[in-house]
Amino acid sequence: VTALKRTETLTAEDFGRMAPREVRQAMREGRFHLPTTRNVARGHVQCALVVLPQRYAFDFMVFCQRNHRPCPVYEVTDRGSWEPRRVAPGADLRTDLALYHVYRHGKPDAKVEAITDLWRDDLVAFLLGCSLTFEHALMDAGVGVRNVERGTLVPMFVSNLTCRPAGRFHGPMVVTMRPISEAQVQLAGELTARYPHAHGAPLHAGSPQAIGIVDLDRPDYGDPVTIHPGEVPVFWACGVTPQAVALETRPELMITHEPGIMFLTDLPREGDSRL
Amino acid sequence: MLDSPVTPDFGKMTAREFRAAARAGQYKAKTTRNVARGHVQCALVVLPGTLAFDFLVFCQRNQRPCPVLEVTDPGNPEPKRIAPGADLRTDLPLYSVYRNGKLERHVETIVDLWRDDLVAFLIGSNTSCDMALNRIGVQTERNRWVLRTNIQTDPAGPFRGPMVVTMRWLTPKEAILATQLTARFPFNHGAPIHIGDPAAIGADLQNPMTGNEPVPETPKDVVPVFWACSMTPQAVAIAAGVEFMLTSGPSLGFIADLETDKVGLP
Repeated sequence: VTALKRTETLTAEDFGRMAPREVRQAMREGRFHLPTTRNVARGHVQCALVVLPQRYAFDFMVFCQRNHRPCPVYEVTDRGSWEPRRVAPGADLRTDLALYHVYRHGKPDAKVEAITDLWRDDLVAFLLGCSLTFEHALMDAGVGVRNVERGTLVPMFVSNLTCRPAGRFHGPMVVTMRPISEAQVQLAGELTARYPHAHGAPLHAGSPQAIGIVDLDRPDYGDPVTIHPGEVPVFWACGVTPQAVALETRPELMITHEPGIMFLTDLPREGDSRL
Repeated sequence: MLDSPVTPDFGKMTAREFRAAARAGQYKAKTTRNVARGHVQCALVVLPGTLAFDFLVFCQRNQRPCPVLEVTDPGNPEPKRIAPGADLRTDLPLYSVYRNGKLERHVETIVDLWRDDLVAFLIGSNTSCDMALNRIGVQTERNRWVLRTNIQTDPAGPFRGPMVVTMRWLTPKEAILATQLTARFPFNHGAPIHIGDPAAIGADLQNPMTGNEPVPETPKDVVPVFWACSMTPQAVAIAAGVEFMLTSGPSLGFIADLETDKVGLP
């Protein structure tokens, strides 16, 4: 049963009220044209997607286990299966995201709206937690999130914090930065700690140089934001880490989601759920 | 029900000291409960590399019974993250050797059984939370059983089967406190998976996996409280009939350098 309007253009408001299943259907039908899934199907866990051939899967999974903060694993599909039957039964990971990035041997190859014809029996899909799941908790508690207020992508930086390596996977941790007023830094830490599967509490607050970041105005990914007087830059582990690390190994094929446009799971974002 | 008490020396040791004692063959008690108090204890499962991915996926799909604290590199017996310098082939008091899903024997070291393709998994145990429970007035020494249930785990590859649980008899007040406290330790099985009627989860009260006696009738003033148990992955690997598996001996865990109080959520 779907409440999708067949003919009209769907607005951000429409998407906010939809069930995750309806958003996935709209994406499958090519009807999702928002710049981000922030506030889409409100109240549900959103995930990053990484698809790799089976021969990379064990090392990648061990990498995620050893680097749980940037790489919280929500689901690993059976080899060759495109259905995430635990977090979104009935969904099809080949079609139910709005846009996919295809990389070959570590180089961008194409952006496509479906990966049905790229799918192979030896592919394994990983769904990883994402900070879009916790930003609402900050805003609900009155902690402003500048990139949300500005409608831009969160600024992301390659830090000098080193991930624990696993097999061929190794590299630096990517972090997100949000300016938080000094009085609210502790609150922001406590709130985000409630979401251990969406990167959890901050890794660092204060001097960017302490974690190897030279210039906050020049993020490695995303858009810069202004830091006002009385605000502290606060850094969280970022889900771009596993993608950046995986690309460094130049896998023969790797497919990911479009940054900011995530996979919508059926899991409610509050509560222990099944994890 | 409980095994012989541990001499105070082992309880006060650091994790490293305890592992050295185990390596030297000095630890002969039947359980590692209360040794190196305050440190995280782990169940050990060692499998051939060909089964390692499926087993890791199994653990991901069943995080309550199988919280993975460390996976070693293939062939490497050092758990670099949670106990640097330790040797998983010697630093546990006793090991179980399984072939084709059957217990073959118990041994004090697995040095001569070690192979280049073996991967070791360390899985958090709720023994780790005992000291924290004691601090808030919940006793952990009596009225505790490990039981089979009919709760099905979420399968991965050849690994499938029912969950094993730890059941404790607690007063209602203790049950509330224990639920609140253990929820902060997701890597040691977290909050209870069931409270109340053992029959609702098919708990086998006649044949506990620890001790020889059936569980007596539940007294009026207590509530049975159930936690997922780190014997689940072993039970599942046995059910899968895996060709070769090494595990920690019954009730005898690996002691990590991690301090329990530092691994909890705020």
